[in-house]
Amino acid sequence: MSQHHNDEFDDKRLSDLYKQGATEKPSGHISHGILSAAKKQAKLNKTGWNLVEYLIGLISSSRSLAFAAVMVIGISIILQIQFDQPEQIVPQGISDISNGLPVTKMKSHSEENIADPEAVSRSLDSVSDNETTPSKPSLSKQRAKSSQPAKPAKKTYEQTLNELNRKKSEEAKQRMVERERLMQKRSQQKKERQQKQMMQAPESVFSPAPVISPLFEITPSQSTTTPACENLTNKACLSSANCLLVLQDDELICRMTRNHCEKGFVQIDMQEKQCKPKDNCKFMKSDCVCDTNETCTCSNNTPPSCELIEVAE
Amino acid sequence: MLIYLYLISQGTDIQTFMLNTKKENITQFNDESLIAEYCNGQHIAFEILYQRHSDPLYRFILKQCNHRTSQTEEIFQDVWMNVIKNCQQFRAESKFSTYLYQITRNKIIDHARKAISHHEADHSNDSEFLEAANNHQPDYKVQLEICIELLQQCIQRLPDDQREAFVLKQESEHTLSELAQITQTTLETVKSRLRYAMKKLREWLPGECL
Repeated sequence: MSQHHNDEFDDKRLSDLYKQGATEKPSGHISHGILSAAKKQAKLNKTGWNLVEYLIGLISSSRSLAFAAVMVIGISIILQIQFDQPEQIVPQGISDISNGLPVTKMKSHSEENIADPEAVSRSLDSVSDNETTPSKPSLSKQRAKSSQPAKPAKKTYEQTLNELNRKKSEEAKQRMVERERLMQKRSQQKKERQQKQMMQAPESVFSPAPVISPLFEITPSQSTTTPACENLTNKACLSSANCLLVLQDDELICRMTRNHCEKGFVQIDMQEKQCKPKDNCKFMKSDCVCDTNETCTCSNNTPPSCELIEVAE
Repeated sequence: MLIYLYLISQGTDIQTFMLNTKKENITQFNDESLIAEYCNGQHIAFEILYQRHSDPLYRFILKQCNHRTSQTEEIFQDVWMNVIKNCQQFRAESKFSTYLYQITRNKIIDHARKAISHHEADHSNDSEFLEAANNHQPDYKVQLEICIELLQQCIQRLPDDQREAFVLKQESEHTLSELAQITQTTLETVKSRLRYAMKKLREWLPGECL
């Protein structure tokens, strides 16, 4: 039945005849107008932004623009390299030569300074400030002078190199002078110390006793604590003219001489004539016998001494 | 990137290449997907839609407007501009072609109302034409052309609703229920209109044409 219905509404002959006559089409200008309107509306409808499509469209529609952009970038890079080259090399090269750095280090050092253009300008400025020659413009000033960038840079290099070498030699001289001064000062101080030590330290066993003024008196605090006498052996103490071996609390100690009587009295000699000639001095004999070649045998006995006699006024 | 460089070396326009590649892929889409793509900004989708539907739609309008070209073009343009501007209004509940012919029908009705005085068909010359055609004994090619012309004349003689149903059936591949949807009538009404239209055409056309 349905087939019948379809046949009823599908007359093949009529349809063929109709289709053979159906050749009408919309005109080209209408189609073009509708499609261009649709294209405009599609741009407005576009929600996302396709970067790839945009770039491809841009490049394909304007190849000359891309070429021009590449040319401009390339030329600007070349100009920048040419412009910056003398400014970067000059100051670092000078400083490296003056510092005596090897070539390899100079290179790396210059690379550091390329990254820090302020350092370059500072070094240039500092150089120019110290010179008597016409001052070199700073990096910023040099950049402003774009007419002749290479010529002044070469001149500055030579000048600055000479000046820095001169400066370096002057500094070296100053250092030498300072060193000499220091050496002299140190030697003087050393001499003074030695002299002081000579004055304070006990004289050797065989040296003659120094002549001491009778007015010279040493305070007890100074005499008892002199390390020089304390460090001496009993035998050396007995032989010394400045130290005296005494019995204190059943112990023999070596101390500094206190008065003119004790001064110059050599205990090991046990000679009365060393003590008697001195004013107000009294020789105190002892049984203790210390031979020069043997160890002192005083043991617990009081060693001989030359004591000051107190005179009643 | 290599493809790009190759195409540059071959002197190919990249934009055209990309467009063609995209077009090849998108041709497989159905009408509903295409209109959705167009709403998302792909103007190529609209181009394909236009290629699919522009000619049948134009003929449908042309026949409904009694072969008045200026009026047909005006309506045709209006319909497509409506689709372009209101693509978001289309819902995938119905087919795009149904939606398109609905808009077209409404536009035709609007125009018919405006120019109702000019709508009266002049059938005075038709009988003369048919008489002349029947008396003439041409060769096969001439006869076919005459038959086609006669069919066009007969279609124009049909009442508006029957002509509409018949042309819609011939131009589009809509089912009867879809035709009912487009013409905003019942299925039975569409069937009836079609039945009457075909009956009349068979009667009017000479036997040599069928």
